[in-house]
Amino acid sequence: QSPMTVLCSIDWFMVTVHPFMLNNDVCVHFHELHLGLGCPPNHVQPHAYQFTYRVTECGIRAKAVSQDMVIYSTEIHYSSKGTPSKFVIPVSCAAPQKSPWLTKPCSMRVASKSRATAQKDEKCYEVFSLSQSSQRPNCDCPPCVFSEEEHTQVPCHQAGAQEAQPLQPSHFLDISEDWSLHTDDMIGSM
Amino acid sequence: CNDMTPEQMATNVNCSSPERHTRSYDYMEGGDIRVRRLFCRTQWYLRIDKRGKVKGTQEMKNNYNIMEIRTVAVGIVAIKGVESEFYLAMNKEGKLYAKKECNEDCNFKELILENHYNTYASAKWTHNGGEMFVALNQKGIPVRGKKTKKEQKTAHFLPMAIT
Repeated sequence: QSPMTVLCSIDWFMVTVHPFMLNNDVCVHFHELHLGLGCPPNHVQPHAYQFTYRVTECGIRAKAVSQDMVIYSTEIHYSSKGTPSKFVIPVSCAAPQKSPWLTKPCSMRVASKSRATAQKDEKCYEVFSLSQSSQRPNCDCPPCVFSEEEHTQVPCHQAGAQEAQPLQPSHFLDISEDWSLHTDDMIGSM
Repeated sequence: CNDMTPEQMATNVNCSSPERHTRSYDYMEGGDIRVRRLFCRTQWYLRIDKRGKVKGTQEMKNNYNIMEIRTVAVGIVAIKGVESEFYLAMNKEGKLYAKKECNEDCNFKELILENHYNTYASAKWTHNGGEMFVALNQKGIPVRGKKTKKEQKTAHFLPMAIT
């Protein structure tokens, strides 16, 4: 499962993130995330937080790049409750203007390659993805987010939690260091 | 071309706000208004005729099936027939009808399903706690809201852009 996927159509913008979207040590709680102008995740599952909004909501920006294509863009804002960490993650997605269907998720690639993906592969509409993990096994989330009935109440352990926490084997790459590089890259390409 | 700002989006959120661009089928204009044909999974287009009758049509090139979908709040839309200038409405009994002046009967919750179809449930009325959906049966006749369920094909719509 990828840390982040972005789908869109001419009506909908849909971002799904994984609680370990940043790296495998940071369990992101859904309260710490919003999309665009303050839109919270509207579908929360233990292993995924989904933001599904109309493209006209949340301050999502639309830009027609051709007769057939619109690019929607906005940001995912992460603001850690327990640490001063904050990230702003640009997300964007291109949709064909004539189709009512959501774009299909692309096979995931490293973010720095996703520009090339977006420009060269006409069939693949996802412009931005964070993910390196398509070839990696699914994440089994630790109990902090995973107790089925209570996952909304149980506090999520914060970055750098010092207590012994059943952390995942490191099958998620640490990508946070490269953030600014990738994000600038993406903004530059828009 | 059109970078839409929040300010632009904030305009036109009220369904009684002045009409504009209703005949220009360009969804990028007018902020939060989409002009669409609502194609039901039962293969009928939702149509509101000039007398305000709500029914399906299988004729695609028909101006009475062109709807203006206006967001009135996050997740809530009002649907108006562009040609007939009637709003789609659902009463307490779950019956679909059309109104010239929109009120709470005209507000629908728009949701996208996992199969990528959209559903439109009355934002005002429920039946025994269950949502009542806009639905067209296999003959193109509106299904009474009380008999509808989210899983049924009759309640699944694709908003098709006007080309």
